[in-house]
Amino acid sequence: MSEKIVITGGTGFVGTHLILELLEQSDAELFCLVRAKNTSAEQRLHQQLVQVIEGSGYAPELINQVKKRCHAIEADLQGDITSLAKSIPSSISQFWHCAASLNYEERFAAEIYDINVEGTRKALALARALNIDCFNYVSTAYVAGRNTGVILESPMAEVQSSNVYESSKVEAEQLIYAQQDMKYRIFRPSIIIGHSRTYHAINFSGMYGFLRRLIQFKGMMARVQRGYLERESIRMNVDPDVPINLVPVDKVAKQAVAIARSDSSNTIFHLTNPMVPTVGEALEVLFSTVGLPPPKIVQDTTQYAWIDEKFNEKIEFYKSYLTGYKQFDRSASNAALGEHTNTTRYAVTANNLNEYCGWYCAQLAQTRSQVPVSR
Amino acid sequence: MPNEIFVIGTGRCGSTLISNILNHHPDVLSLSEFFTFVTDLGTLIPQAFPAMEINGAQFWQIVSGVYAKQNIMLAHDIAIKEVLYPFKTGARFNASTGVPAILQTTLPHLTTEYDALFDQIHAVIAARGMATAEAHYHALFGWLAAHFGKSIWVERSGGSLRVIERLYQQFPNAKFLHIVRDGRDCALSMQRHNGFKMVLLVFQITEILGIDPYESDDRSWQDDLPDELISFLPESFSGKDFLAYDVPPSLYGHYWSGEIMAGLDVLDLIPAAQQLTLQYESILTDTRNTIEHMIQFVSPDSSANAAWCDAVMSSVKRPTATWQTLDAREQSRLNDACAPGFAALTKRGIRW
Repeated sequence: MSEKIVITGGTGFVGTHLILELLEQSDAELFCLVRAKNTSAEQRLHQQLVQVIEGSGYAPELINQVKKRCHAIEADLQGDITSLAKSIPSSISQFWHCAASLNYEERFAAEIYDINVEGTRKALALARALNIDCFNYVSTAYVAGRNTGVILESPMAEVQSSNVYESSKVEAEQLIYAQQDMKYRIFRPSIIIGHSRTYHAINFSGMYGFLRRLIQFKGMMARVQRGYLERESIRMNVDPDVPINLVPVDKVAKQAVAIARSDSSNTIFHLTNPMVPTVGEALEVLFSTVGLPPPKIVQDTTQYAWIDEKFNEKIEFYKSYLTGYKQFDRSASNAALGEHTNTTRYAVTANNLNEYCGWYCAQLAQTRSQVPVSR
Repeated sequence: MPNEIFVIGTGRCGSTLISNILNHHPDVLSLSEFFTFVTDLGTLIPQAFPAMEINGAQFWQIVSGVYAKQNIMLAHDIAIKEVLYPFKTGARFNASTGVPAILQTTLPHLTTEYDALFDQIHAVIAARGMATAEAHYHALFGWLAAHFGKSIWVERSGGSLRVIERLYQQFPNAKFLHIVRDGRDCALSMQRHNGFKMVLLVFQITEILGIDPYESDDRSWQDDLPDELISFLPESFSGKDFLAYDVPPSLYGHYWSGEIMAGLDVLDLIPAAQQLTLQYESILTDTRNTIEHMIQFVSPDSSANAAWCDAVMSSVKRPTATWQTLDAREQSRLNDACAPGFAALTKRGIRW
């Protein structure tokens, strides 16, 4: 009899890739808790998975596997899910909790808390009701908040978070640490970007959100003064020499599944990338992608002109990822992965970062309308 | 055919004064803020100049449109001070009905019988057949000039450098009176003007949403809006937040520079005989000579010029706000922001 797995967030960025990895690497049957929107939960789940299969270059025969082995269970983490235990088959072995809100503006604070913290509480209760073997939680490497230096794969206790998203993930992790009699694993990916071969992505927060802010700011200034930002570099007070930890989504999914299939007794794993560009290199690529000169890095904000202040305000959320040296320890991950620790395939360099950004800009041009400057 | 003149300039360059004093000239029809309102504060310029021929009814829609931005400002009691229509006092149009574009300022500036004139114009325009927007505008302004017995019309809208390319395309024989004012004072004055604040807010939101939120209800990208801009969507508009929203003068300084540079590029295409540039400060410091110079350009053959100059001399008042009142840091930022505009003007021999 094949293994049975429950997954939340199966239509999300990590969740879809994780499902495809599970379909590829096992014969498990997957039960995905999915919200119904304009279409049924099942249609929505399957459509999203097919989109990722086609966009990310997975084997087309996986589409049949999706239809055969991926079952949607209509559920909303902001509602009651514990009662779903009755509609999920018994003998579930693994529970993957990938659902999360990636918003960060203050107006979303209640929703972020509700989905990320209360949602995790509910997922744990459901997992307990299902009597599962192991609870796998997709967290973030940035539960480290403003900590710098070597960041260990260990529980995060006292930490100064940079935003409400990070603090919600810390709180969710703490709910998991408190589980006395349930095995768990916590996976902490860094900043997730598109597929390592096709650059395809379905979630556009993180680096893509930064890129969008840059495009928006350039557009706003073009309405104010045509060509200004093309002539004048924006000033930024960041650490150009620290690494910016970007990790392709397929690496996150592949390594999470491989670790879950390993016999590691560790509980916290960094799904970060050892081969990444520096902040300075990445910013140069991002700015160049949108047709702007590289930012001028300054030592303090007193050198900001008003335009610099305004831009830096708009990307404030991202500043914590551009400052402070963080070296993510991967001892537990590497030990669990063993021979699967292939780092070069997933290296993010200035060259291929350009491709990831270019892919996204092409997507944006197709999907986002634009109002010409009114003259 | 009447002589056609446009007074053009950046926002808050002092051109309102020109409209007001020209309104006293017996030969001049002073059309004030016409293009400000038919373009909904300059945010719908292409829509006001459709490329295809349109009929009279369609042209009337442009001229008498109840536009979203200017009217939400009436509804929230933050109307720009140029609005002359008494929308608060039981008039035919009010903040609930919205006030048609041409009635916001243009017609009340000409007559106290603005509602009746509005209906007369409607009848005239509605009877027109298919024509270009250019032909309709010529007909409208010509009819108004004839109606008031004037031989010259002068249209002036705040910040009209933004629309100068369209104006020159549609009115290639018109004369252009360009008023320039120290960009730092323009910026400071724009900062205190609700219309320019609205425009800059709309610029920001439009770039984030990919649509003009006052013209489209597509909110696909609303999650990208920072908290501070949510209050300026039409569905959640807050007049209180609008008044509290602070845009520093230096952004307006950048805007001023941008408008000057783009506007001068177009002015360079216009024959010298069809344009005159005057510094606003000269009107204040050398009033008689400057307004004589101006009226010679506007109405060179009028026998009424000298008497008009005598009559309007006392209307010229010095504005109260100057950029030197800002603190040293903001002055420095404003200088930097205005530097490209000053450099472009210096090439044309205009200095402060």
